[in-house]
Amino acid sequence: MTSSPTPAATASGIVKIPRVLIVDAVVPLNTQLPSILTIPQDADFEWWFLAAFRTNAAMKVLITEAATQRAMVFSGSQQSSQTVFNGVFIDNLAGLVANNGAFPIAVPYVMPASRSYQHAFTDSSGAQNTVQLAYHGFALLQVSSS
Amino acid sequence: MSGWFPNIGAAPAVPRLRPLTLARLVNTLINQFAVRGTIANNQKDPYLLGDGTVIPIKGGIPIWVYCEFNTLGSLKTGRVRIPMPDSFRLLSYFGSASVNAKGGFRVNVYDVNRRLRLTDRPINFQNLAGTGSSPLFQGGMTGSRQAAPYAFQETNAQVLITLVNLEPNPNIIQFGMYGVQGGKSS
Repeated sequence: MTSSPTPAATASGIVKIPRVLIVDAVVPLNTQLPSILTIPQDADFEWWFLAAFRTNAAMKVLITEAATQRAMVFSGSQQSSQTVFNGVFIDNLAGLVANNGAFPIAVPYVMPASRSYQHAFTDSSGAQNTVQLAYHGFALLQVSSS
Repeated sequence: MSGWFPNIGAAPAVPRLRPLTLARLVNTLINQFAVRGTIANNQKDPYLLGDGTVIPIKGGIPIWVYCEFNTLGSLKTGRVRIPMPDSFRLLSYFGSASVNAKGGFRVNVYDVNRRLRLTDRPINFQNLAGTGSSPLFQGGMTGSRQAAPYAFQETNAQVLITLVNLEPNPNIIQFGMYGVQGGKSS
């Protein structure tokens, strides 16, 4: 009788390992700063929760899947002349795990190994803003059946 | 039956009592009530412990669609028609207002293609939408495996958002929808 490597192993030979991926940025006052999240190449990543830390709430976020150029944040609206499309306010995206504020993605999304996700952080607080996004989920590790 | 007792027929079937704990497996008790997060998480917990999501969709990409008024004048009404991404299914709303002393703003959401009001009438935004820390997942109630996310028209869907600033001051307002684009019903 063969036993599975771990209780989390599935019939397809994939083991789910808890993993947290991080995007860090220190955004200078009133500017936009790009930052890239690259999925580790050892496994696809299944995204379940998003958590966010920032020093000031006046911060907007854009996320785009690099390989496909698929935007995750849309602004389809005709905005007023003063409004520039810089994304969603970070507090509208997610909060801190410590405050029970992580945002459940609800339909877990698989991010392929080695794929990059572009982020653009835009500060409008008038002061330097330190931000961190934490992608909580699982690495989908392939295991050999032998 | 006979004697002192009238004949009232067979006793009704009594449902079998369900034990509160399952049989002991590897000396471990299983509490059948402990299948969800805490009650405080009702509105924002779409996952079942040790299982998947209650949302009957597989695949698809998470999408945030929003509109913004920077700024909306005091007591003014703003209206915007948002062209939705194709194959979008609504999971929750989000919103914020820079001034929120008298309720921030009221909002009405209208599906243009189907001529459907998704809110009965303008609703205080905090009764409809939280932030990323406090979303209300549509139809994803506690323990339900029958969550039914609203699917807009497959292509060229449009949503009309009408906002009223309740504040006597200009207000920076952001309101939007979180959902999934694509994916299959599971």
